[in-house]
Amino acid sequence: MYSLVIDIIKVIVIASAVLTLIPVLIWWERKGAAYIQDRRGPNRANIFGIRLGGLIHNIADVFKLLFKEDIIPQQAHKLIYLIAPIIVMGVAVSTLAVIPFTAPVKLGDFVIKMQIADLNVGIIYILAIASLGVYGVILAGWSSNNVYSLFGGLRSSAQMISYEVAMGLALLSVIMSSGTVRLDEIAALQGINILEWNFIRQPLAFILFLTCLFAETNRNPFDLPEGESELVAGYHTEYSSMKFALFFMAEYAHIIVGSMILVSLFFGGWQIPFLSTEFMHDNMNALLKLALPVVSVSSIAAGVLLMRRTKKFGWGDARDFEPLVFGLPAVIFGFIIGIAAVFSIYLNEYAVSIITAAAQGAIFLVKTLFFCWLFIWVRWTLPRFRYDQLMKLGWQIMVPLALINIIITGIVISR
Amino acid sequence: MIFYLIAFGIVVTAILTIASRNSVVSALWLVACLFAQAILMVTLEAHLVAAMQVLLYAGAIMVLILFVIMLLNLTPKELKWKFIAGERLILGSGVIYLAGVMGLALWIIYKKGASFVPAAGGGTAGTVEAVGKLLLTKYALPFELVSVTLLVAIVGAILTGRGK
Amino acid sequence: MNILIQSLPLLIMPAVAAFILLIGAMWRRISGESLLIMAVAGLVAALFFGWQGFLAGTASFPADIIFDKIFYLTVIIIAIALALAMLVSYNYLAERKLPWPEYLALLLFAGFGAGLMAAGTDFIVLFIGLETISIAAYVLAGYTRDGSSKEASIKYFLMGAFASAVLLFGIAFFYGATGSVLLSAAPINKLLMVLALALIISGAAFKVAAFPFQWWTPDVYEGSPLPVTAFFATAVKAAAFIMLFRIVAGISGGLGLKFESLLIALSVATMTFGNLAALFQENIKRMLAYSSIAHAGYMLIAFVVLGKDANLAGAALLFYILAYIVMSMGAFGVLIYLSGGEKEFCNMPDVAGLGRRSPWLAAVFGLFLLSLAGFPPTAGFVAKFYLFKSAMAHGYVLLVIAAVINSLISVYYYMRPVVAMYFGEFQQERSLPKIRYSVAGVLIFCAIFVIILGLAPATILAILSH
Repeated sequence: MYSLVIDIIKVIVIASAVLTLIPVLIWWERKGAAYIQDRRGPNRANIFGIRLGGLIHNIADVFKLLFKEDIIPQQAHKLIYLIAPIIVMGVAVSTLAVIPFTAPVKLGDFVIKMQIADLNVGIIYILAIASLGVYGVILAGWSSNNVYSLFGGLRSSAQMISYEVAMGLALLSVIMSSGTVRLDEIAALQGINILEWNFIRQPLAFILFLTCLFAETNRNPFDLPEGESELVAGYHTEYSSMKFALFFMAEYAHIIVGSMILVSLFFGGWQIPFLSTEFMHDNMNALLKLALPVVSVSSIAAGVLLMRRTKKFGWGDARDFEPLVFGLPAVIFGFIIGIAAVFSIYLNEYAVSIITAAAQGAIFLVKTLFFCWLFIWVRWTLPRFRYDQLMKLGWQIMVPLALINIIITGIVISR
Repeated sequence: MIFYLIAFGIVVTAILTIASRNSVVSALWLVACLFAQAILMVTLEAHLVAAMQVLLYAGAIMVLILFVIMLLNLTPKELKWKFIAGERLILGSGVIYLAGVMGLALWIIYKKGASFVPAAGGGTAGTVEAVGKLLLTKYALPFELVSVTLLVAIVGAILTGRGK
Repeated sequence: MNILIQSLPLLIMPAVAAFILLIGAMWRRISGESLLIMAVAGLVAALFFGWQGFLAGTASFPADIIFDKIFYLTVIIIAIALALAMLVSYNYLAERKLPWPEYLALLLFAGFGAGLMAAGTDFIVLFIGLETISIAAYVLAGYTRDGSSKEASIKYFLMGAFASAVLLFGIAFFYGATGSVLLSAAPINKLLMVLALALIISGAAFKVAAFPFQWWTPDVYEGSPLPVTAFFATAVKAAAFIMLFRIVAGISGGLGLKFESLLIALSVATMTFGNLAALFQENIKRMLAYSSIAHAGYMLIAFVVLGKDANLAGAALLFYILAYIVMSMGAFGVLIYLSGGEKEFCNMPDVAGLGRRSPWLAAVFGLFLLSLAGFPPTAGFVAKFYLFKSAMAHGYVLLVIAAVINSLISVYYYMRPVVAMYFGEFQQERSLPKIRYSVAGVLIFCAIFVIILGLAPATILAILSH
């Protein structure tokens, strides 16, 4: 009973956290694109003049998509047309189930695994679910009854199947060197030493997996299924309103989940470099004595710096007070932390565990966001592949490389 | 109880697979059927097999089948009933055979109840470790022999797929 | 090391197949003849090592496989059948410009599958062998890629896949009943075992084309290219029978009385159906297909006897298989020889008047047909005699009477081509194709073998009785 409640809480918290990340990522993508292309990016939408550097655009987008007319083409296959976006989104989110976010949290005798479902098939579950994602795309393409959509669906099915092979083979070498398929064990085994993380131990597998991840998420340079210069918008050409929004969100959900898997497999998951869970747990109070003043000072400093940008008579409207939105809370937060540090609150064991987990979750999030940024970065800097190049890369380069990597791994671990 | 629910789902989706006029829809029902089978395997503690079922059958093979169906672009009108010679005889013997097997099965359940041999190893028999160990020890020979079968299948596929 | 040597006859076939595939892919200008010679040399080597192994005796690989005398005999028989099928297809493939390497490799892989079916002592190995030979057969059925060939391939594939599914279903129940896939596993749930065996036997009946499951045979045999049909009728059928033999003989406690009557019914129904349907065929290829069904019915008699005397039944079955291979390969060989050029000539009018145009060919064809019908100085007679005698010895009088009546019916349709050859007029001006040495060799070999088996069966029977 207890565990059921905890499971439900985990599902709600994790799913909503990821869903909240999606708009942030969309904003990030727009700003990142603008940054790379040397322009300002979205910055007009506002609420009472507050624009938050374009973040308000997402809220505007949501309202726009919600209130748009929801068109179902007359010749479409209604049912399949309806379920396709659901499949895409559902698959993207359900992969989350086996990702470990922090080390298991010990509350007295009570151990909570910070992963929704602890399956013994681990990675294979992820591969299995991810392989279903192609259905959404392919069915969307088919049911729209549109040539461009169909082409998008066909392309994506061929592409995903091809890259799944290389992806599975690349993962195989990681599984071999770890000796387990459970993601939490793989993450835990990598330890706190950066040099022992899998991206150092399995560099080839890392590169192959990253490439396949790009292909599986249909992101540039593998975004042929929706190549807008050839196929209008590919498989979701005929979709509008919230159905389109689901596709749009699913793309970012895929990026987030993909990054999380990548981090768990190759970048130590929730491991904080050089700080093991036990060490943090045992010395939390000392660490906090060290960390809290630093956090407090830097937070206040950042807040003040932000607030200094407030121009008294710059624009003449609410925009002038924008820096306060983040600046003020930062200063207040800094002061609270500072007070906590001064009074040197002593934490009991439960609080220590929770703070350790929080720190690990935060580092996991930071790593994940870094790879999300990598996705955006790549999209706006690399050109798209041609179709034959894509297939050639998948079958003639990646698969043999992955096989060679497996052989090398086998030789190394058998010694 | 859960078993009967899942089994019912499998049978219904299987019937829908062959009853749909639209080939894409029927392929989708097949996917649903395979998925239901995977669920059944999970309830039997065979996690690895379930994951493989989804990964390979639902995720890879059925996608290829859909791909081919879409390339052929079969519309429901083109799929009509076609009768083959002696179809009544074949149908009749098929029905009799099916009835015989079903009758035998029901008779057995009636007589003895469905008492199967319990799986060795209890709940851990279906894990990755257990299955992997079995594949490389007890069933190592068949496991290796399958490679020849696969090679034949590859040769055959290339041969059939190659243009004249 | 010992294991390696003893499994050589089995391993040599896929090795040669892979070698031929590689050579054919890398060196495209290699001629069909040299590949053919390689393949046949591989088979001869397999035959030789098989004979050595036969002399050396039984060896068993851990659990799944056993190399006993039946296995080695099967390998020898299969190797002979495959070598004949390869040689006989020489002008067929050469004149149609079909690719050689894949053809030979698939045949060799099929030989490997057949070997596994003879060696397996658990259902997994048997099933893998069955699938290997089946997949090769599906592909070979569609080898010429024209309409009827493709149709045959698809039909065979669908039916075969269905049969495999039934068989697998039976194996699953077997596992449920015994908790093991070993053939010798003792059933814990006896009733479930009955269901399992029923499904397994029906799956195997599909493969050997026994009565209620034989519908695919005529279409597939007729649609496939002639040499491939010859391969189906000989090697594939032999392998399926050996597998059934392994299963029936290996099941602990035997099949029991219920299955005996079931097998008798299957046997009688199969031979009657095959013979009656064959009466009305105008196409000799199709007629031979029905005749192969009928012969499957005769061979099932051996399984009835199996419960009483395994040695006798095994020897009778192997001898029948061997005799059937040589005579039907010979009959198909004549058709293949006639079918040079683009078209296959297998209708009754196509052989009309052959007796005057090409007396030797007609004589050989007549010999094979007589042997198939079971006339005295030929292999077919001895095989049937031996089989019926073994059934008689265990008191299956009615079964034997049914089989004899069937043999009498079969005389009619086997005689029709003979009559056409010697008393018919040829209806079209068509020069006979040039004789090829390999085909002629196969015909001569088969003819001599049919006579030897007919006149002096004692030696071979003695070998087979081991």
